[in-house]
Amino acid sequence: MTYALIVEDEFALGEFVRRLLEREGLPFRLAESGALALDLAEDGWPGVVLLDLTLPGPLDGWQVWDELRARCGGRLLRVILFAASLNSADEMEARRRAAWAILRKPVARARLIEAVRSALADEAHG
Amino acid sequence: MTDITPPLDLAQLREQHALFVRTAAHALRTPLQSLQGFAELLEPGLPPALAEHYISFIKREAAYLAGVVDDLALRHELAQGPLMLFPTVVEVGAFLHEAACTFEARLPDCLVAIEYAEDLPTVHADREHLLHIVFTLLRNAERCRPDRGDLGGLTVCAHHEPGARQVVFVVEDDGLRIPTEYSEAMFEPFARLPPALGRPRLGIGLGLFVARAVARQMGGDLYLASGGNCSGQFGNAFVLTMPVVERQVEP
Repeated sequence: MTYALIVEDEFALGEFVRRLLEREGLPFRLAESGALALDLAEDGWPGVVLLDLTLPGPLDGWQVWDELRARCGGRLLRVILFAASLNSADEMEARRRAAWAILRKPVARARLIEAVRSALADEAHG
Repeated sequence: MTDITPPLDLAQLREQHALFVRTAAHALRTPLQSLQGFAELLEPGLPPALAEHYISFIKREAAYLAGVVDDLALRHELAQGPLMLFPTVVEVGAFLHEAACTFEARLPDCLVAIEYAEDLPTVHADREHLLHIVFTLLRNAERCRPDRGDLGGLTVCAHHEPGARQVVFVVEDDGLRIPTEYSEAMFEPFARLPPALGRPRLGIGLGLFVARAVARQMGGDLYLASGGNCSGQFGNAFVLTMPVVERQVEP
């Protein structure tokens, strides 16, 4: 079953996204670091990745994205960039990488849900 | 004393400004997202326990934002010159109880244990600024807890060696041990530990810088104890010293 992979190290924010997706009935898994995200993706390919750029540990968000791309093996990689300190260069880079959506914190929950739901629907119909 | 730090050139100033904007954006937008998100989840008909849970996060993030704004304001004041202080005689036990209670009220899922000897001497400090320093240390410790499901875990203790002119406050965390080579660098403004160390980003990077500057202006000091608080790779102990009130010698 497809799911949304949430990569978020900030405790309160991770808790908010968890509660929100539970409430909406959307399947998800939560990773607090880039390394954990890669392990979870190895375990089951996610339909969408909600990715923060600033992460603890050796991998930042861009590196996690690179690693996922290297491991996708023909599967579609949909990434929603969900970051606080996005500058125009980051946004340009995310567009170059064909991000599914670019969300600058804070966003309304409706926008966040719409982005995740549309990506999971695309996966289901793909 | 003369400040012999060489002035920054324009390129360095621009670089610092860009770093500040990026850091501030991250430090402010992240808790704002939590605040907005949990506020949006508070809907009529929500089970009371769940509503309380969401409200606890709103309080927590609001307290965090208040700390960031305090640090920014104090950093600005410190750049203009010494702070205006209003030192008084502070009774350590009562102060620790007040600090723990206030902190727990701001972060409802947090319990702060306090430890001190009953016969501690009083200290000479600006009470509000002393509270700000202790809150900074507790806030950092709270955000470093590796297992956020654990509701306890924060300790602040105070002790005094006979004859010493300082009372020593210690705030411990059980986050990943900070390597010795960063024990001074982390008191620099906008200091960031390398992400590879795996510690969470803590605020705007001004908290420890401001706390140390204020502690020193009050005649004390703030530093990271070498060796942490326990064995293994976890645990750090931040040490704050404050001058004791000298007893008047009878003529």
